[in-house]
Amino acid sequence: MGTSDTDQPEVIIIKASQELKRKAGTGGFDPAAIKNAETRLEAASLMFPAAAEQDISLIEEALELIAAKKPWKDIKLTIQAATVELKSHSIMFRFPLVTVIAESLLRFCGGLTEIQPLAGEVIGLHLKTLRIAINQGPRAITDNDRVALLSGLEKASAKVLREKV
Amino acid sequence: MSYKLKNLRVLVVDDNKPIRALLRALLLDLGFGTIDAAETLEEGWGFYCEHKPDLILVDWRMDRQDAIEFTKRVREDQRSPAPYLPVIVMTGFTSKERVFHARDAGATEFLIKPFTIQTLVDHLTHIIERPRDFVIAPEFVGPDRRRRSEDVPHKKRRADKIKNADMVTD
Repeated sequence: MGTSDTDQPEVIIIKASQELKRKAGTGGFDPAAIKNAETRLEAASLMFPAAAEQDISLIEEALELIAAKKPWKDIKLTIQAATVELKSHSIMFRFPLVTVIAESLLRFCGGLTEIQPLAGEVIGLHLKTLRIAINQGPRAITDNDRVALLSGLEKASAKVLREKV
Repeated sequence: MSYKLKNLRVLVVDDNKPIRALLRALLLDLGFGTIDAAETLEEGWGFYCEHKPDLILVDWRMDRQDAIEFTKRVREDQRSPAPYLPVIVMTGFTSKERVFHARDAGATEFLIKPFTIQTLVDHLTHIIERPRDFVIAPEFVGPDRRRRSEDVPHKKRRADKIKNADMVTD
């Protein structure tokens, strides 16, 4: 059966508004203004601990939900969302150690399809390490971090993920 | 001569107070005249209806849909005072599906966190210099989703950032 023109859904196209262009004029952003914003962003690293608080609290709450044996699927989403935010902000505010720990936590949670024995402990270990890294301020990752913090996280994560298999 | 942004008003919606404050300060540094900063989508909707900004930046967390619902509300709510205005959705989680979801909700641009000042400036410049036609269809209300590749100056960089995605374009 054919379709008549009147059966076609109506689509309205509104010509692109030039209002912003009219208001802003021409010439692009002022290079000095861009420089000012870049300088502010570079100097903003001290804001990171405060910016991270909300997401650290969400991971803490997720640990309580694990202890209360709530569904992993919901807990996982909460942890992943908070950790993605932490990771993004840690890059923006130049906390590379936090970035690496957040990536480790994301890998760990991504590998878990259901909650495993000791999974809560491994997430708690990541949380503790995140707190240490945040409190230490923006700094480069050292060999000591790799040995004392990061390898421990990786080993603990691998142990639980292997148990899953 | 550069842009005259003093008479432009921007609404920022982000529930993280330090990030919200930083975004506000950065936009003021870039020359925008007035920044309204809202903690919640409801507060943001109030600012939007009252002040009718020229541009909205809204944060989208991975575990929520509220920024998408907010964008759809701006586009489709009968009380919306400026349904065609640019909406930039910011997020740290960038799956291909998520980008398409934001686009289909009517987002004008998708800003991946973390971003540099230059990336922010690039998006804002794109919005000012290359406004798109607006489409009102039964299942979609928003900026025309079809963009010529030459319209997207940072196609490669953004594509690199979006896992498995070719681009925000169709």
